[in-house]
Amino acid sequence: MLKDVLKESKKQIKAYLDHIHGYDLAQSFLELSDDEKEKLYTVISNEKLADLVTYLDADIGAQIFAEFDLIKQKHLIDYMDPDDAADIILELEEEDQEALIQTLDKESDVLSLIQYNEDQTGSAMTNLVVKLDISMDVKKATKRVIQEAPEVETISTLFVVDENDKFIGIVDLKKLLKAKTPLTVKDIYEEHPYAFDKDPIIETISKIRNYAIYEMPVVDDEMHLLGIVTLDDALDIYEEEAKEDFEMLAALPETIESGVIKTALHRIPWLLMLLAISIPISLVTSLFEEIIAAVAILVIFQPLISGSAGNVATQTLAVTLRMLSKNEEGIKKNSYREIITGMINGLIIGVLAFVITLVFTTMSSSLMTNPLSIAFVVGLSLWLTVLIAPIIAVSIPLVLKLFKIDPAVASGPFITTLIDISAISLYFGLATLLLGGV
Amino acid sequence: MSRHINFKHSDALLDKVFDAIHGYDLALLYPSLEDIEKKRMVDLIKDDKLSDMFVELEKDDQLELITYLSQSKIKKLITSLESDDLKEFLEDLDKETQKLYLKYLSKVKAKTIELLLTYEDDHAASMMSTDFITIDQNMSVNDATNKIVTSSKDQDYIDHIYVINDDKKWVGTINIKNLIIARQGQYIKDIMEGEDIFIFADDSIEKAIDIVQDYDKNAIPVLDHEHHMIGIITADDIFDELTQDYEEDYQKLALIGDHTTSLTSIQRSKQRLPWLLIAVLLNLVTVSILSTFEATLEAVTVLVLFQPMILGMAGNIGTQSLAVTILGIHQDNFENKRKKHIVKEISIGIFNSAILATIAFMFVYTLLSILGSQSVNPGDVAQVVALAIFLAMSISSMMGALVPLTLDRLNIDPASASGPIMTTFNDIIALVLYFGIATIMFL
Repeated sequence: MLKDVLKESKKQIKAYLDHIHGYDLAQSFLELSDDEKEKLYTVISNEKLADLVTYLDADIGAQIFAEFDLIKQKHLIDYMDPDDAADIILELEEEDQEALIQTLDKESDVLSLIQYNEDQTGSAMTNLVVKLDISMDVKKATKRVIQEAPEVETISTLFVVDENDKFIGIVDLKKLLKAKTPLTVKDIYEEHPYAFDKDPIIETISKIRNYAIYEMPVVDDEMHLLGIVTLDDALDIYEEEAKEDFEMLAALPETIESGVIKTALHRIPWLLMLLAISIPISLVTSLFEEIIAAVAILVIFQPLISGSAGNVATQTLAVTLRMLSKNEEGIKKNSYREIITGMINGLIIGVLAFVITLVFTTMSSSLMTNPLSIAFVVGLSLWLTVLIAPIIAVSIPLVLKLFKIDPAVASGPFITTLIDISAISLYFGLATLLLGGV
Repeated sequence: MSRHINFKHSDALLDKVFDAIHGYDLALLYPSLEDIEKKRMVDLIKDDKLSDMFVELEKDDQLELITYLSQSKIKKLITSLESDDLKEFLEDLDKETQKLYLKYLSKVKAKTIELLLTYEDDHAASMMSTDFITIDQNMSVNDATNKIVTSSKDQDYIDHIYVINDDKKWVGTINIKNLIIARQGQYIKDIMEGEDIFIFADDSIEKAIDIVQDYDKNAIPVLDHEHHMIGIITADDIFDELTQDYEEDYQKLALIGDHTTSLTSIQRSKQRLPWLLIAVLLNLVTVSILSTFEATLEAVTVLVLFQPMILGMAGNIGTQSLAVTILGIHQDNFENKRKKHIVKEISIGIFNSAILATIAFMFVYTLLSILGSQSVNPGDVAQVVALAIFLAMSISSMMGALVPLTLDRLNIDPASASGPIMTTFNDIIALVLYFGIATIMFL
């Protein structure tokens, strides 16, 4: 392990660092004490240090950056891929950011990446690619590839531009190697999917996955080739987004790695909010104390009604949030379908609940009230609440979106609690109406 | 992407239209076509596009598509498929049909596919492809380049070339980039990287996902235990696998099946109804247990006011720790962190339950004092509620962590824990605690 190696001589540490993969280095780096980190910095080459920073989370990378002076920071940036460098720079304190940006060349690739929003395709782009002109013959093209290979991330795909420097397609390296003069790039290139730099990154990522593309070309509005988004970057971004969706549905703030108390406090705001919105439930229920006192058996079926409506709402919510986070079209049609689905499902489980209640109340001897009317109240309330559930679950995220609040804050538990309020009002309300006289 | 194709166009024009659409999009389109349209499409599109589309289709559509093809076209299609895609297509067919298709292949290739079909589902080898290139470490750079140019097939992965020694054991990898820029006169051994990033055939798929992701590799070699290289796992397949994992987790948490936006209301009902029905039936258990507390309920009706709150809060904290645990299981070397994770989640659960119970106590006390409730003392009820919330939440968060981990141990998908059984269980615990404590307190 790195920790032990750091006790050895400089030469040995160097030899160790030469062979370790950036990811492994980053993993063991996290376990070092401050002193050990200091020692590492004195030995490690700029190139390897840049590699290490790349594999760490951007905020930790920025912390490392802050330990060094501007000149060293610039050297590190030079060794990094532009997209990784841009991530780090954006994490630095504002003053440091500006100072570092000042030192970079005007044409620096990093600068062009910093201007993009995090959710735009451009922000995940690397601009190191081999460009071929359409008119090149294959020999010249091969030469270009060999020349530029050391500088770029990959040469498996070569990108073809026309006379006006506009992107028109790609050449597979295999095809180029097999081609012989007098063929030109024009004869062997093929069309290829691409993304615009301002496209939402989510869309670009699903294109990469669906089309199984290792290097997705990114162009500007005028079809000038700006760079590529690689599959491995897409994979990481996808995982982050998927995790977020999942966490949101579970009313869980972004997972953090820290101690018990800190993590607990991190999660508690959601729980507190949920507790706060469940207070009205108690208030609403208290309005119906009379009927509850009169027909105590009603209480027994209350979890059934709240629970079912909550389940239906969660289903609809999940589907709706997914569509919103993927920017899919057809929300209206989807909402309409969800509501119809709720009606059908509500009817079926409503009837089932009616039967169950009827059987149960008939068997239960302690009862004086008419089992049939209790079963009717339970069945009808269940149907009505399950009918309302999808309406609430579709409209709340849409309304939040309208107010530019992240719709995903409407998590499963949040919606379920809201549904509880309507479920209870409906249930006891109906009971008062239909059984009130008993 | 164009989602609508006008089949009234001439063949020549249609041909152009198909040319411009990616195989994946064609595959999305295919199931919605009329039989005649399908046939025309299959006739018109180019061979490589046909195979691009074919691999993206569902099994039923694949089988149907084949019926539209001539013998020679079937042969072209089958031979052009990547080995992992071909294996996936053959996997669920019966032995006889498999043989029929394997006949189209060369003897060597057929053998490889037969071998691929023998790997177990959750082993890394089951998702590997055999379309890779190996070269001997003693070859010169020139010979190696020639070999790649002349012998590589269209579907071969050549971004990395794999190097073997005299015993045919894998010893290293060369990025094609480094091979291209190597000088003449150099040997493969001089320029290869002797890294040790690989996976054994019988390692888990999860491990393969981790390795590809962590080391940012486009492909990793698959080895048998003698270090012979038997295949590669590529990052695009890993991407599919990862997506599937997350989709499934999400769907299970939300109690929805394999949902797509195109489903109609009736299809959606059909798919979700089983979950809902199970939940309703399970509620029957809750109902029966609750009915045993009828006496308490009748005596202290005010208890009802706080029942939804207790059930809700227990459910919420359970969902939180469940979600954290399911996500945690996806992480690298989670095995080693298992114990730590359990202890941590339980401590967090107890901590947060205590805080919320305190707040709930204050709320209940205030509310009852304002309502000026008759027979019972607000302090007593508040105590009961607070104690029930504390215990129910602690237990629910504990279950949220323990159940998925146990399922994982038993090789059941941990996300199955997010179903109605868990919810019902939590409900029952919470209710029994609440009314149990109340019964002791008031009766």
